[in-house]
Amino acid sequence: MSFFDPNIQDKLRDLESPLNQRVSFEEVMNRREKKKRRGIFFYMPRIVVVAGLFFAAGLGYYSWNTYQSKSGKESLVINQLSVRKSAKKNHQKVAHHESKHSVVAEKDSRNSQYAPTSNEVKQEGIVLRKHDLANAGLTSHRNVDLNASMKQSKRKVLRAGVDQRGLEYFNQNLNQTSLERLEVNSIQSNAGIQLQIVESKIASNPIAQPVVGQTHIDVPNAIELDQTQTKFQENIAQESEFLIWSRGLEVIPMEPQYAIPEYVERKGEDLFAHAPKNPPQSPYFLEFGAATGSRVLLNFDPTLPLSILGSQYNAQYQLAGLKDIGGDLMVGIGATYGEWIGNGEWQKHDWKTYEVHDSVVLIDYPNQGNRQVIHVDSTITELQTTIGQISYRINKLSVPLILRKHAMIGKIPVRLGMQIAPGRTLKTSGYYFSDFEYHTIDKAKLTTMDLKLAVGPSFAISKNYTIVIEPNVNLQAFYDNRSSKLYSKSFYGFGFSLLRRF
Amino acid sequence: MTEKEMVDGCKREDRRSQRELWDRFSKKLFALCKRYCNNQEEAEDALMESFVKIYDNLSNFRFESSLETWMRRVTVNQCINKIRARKLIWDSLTQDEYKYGFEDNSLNQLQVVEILDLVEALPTGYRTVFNMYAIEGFSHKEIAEMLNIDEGTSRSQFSKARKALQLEYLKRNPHYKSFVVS
Repeated sequence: MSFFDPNIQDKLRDLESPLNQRVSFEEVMNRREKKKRRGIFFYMPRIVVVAGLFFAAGLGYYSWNTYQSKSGKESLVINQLSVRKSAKKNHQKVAHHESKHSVVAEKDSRNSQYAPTSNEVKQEGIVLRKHDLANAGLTSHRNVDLNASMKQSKRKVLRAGVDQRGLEYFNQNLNQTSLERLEVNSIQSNAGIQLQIVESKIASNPIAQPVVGQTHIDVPNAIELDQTQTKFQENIAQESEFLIWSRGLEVIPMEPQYAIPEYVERKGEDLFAHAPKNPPQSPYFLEFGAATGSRVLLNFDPTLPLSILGSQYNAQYQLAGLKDIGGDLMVGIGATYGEWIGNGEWQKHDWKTYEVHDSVVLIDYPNQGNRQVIHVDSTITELQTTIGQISYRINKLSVPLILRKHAMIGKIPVRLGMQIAPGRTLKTSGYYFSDFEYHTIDKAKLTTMDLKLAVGPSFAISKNYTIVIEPNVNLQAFYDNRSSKLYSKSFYGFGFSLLRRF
Repeated sequence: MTEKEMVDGCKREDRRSQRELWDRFSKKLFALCKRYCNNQEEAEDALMESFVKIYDNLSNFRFESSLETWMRRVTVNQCINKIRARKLIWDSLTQDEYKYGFEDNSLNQLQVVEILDLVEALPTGYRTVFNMYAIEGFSHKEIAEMLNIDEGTSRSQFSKARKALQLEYLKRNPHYKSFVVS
């Protein structure tokens, strides 16, 4: 049942109110546009964060893989062992392959050679990604043999230097089925180890053949070509053509099928002494870091005459130069700009002493005219507690002396950071007040000293850039020259650093 | 332009149809907003935000009710959101306190402007429920759902609103001693 008479209710509902200038159709449309834009930005951060997480996870996985493949620090002994092991395994593979596919394998007194048919080549080619080549230790396209006369060739040959790590990698990983039919054609020993990769774009081309075993392995400085090498002479590519496939192709893993030459069985001989080395990397880094921290005090400290509770925050932005001094250690120096912001309540205890002067009149009874006045002086001490509010901000500049240590926790690369940073306050500002007083905080130049400890995982995002995510604990101290007092607080926070290798 | 053409035009983001919708309903909805909101600025904001929502959600309008009813509902909701943002505390009465009859129609004796003037003087909680129940015609159950309060709370707010209206009226018109709301 309606509360009002329907007529009155209708009148109430149909009332109109004139619009003023602030309210207009155009304003509504503007708000709508703003809302749409805001909507984009509202969802964008979430999208960016999620995408960023996936991206970071991918990068982390990639860098971890890269790190794992590089962290072996291939010593000759280890690699000889692994290569030898691989060689045995591959010999078995060859034997298995021969029996299974009835492939003719030619053997002479010095090497063994496996030459599958063109159809097999078609099925068992190799496609390489750029990072696979990098992982394999292929130095660069500079090692490609170029033959300008064969510019129009449909085949391309990469003859790249490969070090012991690369040899191992190829033995383990690169004998794979190909979509683009990149095929390892020969591994030969000369000055170091050379690897030839042929990209065959004509599937049925019978020339493309994996070759196992080498000749003249006892002459490490001589460049000996397998007879198949001559077949490939016509297939040598232009550098520009090589660059085409060097920019990333797919890889489909397949069983290894290459045997390793017997020379790897020779113990104690530095067969890789002449192998191409990676160019030396700069030990210098530039680091940008940002860190935050906070501290919350819930209670006053009753033991202090002046104590503060509330929230304190600090933010630090740092630019530093670092040098890798070996042993996974880095040292450096930089500049840090920091802000310390606090707000909350303050409590002050004051013991106040009063001198009390009392006069007591003693009246005799019944002779009341006989009176005597006694003066009593006493001291009363009273505790006065004042509580008020405070808000302040301290800006400072410091020079951090930095020590970093890189380590592995399980399979995760982590960085431990420590730095001590003497500095000076740039500006102090703020106020504090109670019901009875209001004061601004003095502009004071204080000596500061920060100590920061941080540990966190590091992610290589490219060859030269690394990101480190660092939870940290930060002790910040101020020394007041006037009162010769030292104040210090510790903050717990989070930060990140971006390292750039020069 | 018929209502259907206007709605279809708005769905196509046709600026002329959107303008027509604004011209046709904005003043009426502004009066509604002023009834709910505490001040002019809040009412203006509520109106414009309501129209933003209306334009954004017209695609969901299926002509199952009249367009005006739907728009009023959207606007009331927007006003309620504004009220909620002020963290209004709804106090509840016991069953005995809202047993007064609801059939009383003493307010019908007043002019519309007088009623509005009185309603405007009500505290926010009373005014909201009174507006929703007495003017918009929502049931207490609907009001409870929309305001996220108990149905009893809605009833008590309405009861208190009526008493407050009575007191306010008697304060303004002392010669009407016999005016009784409940």
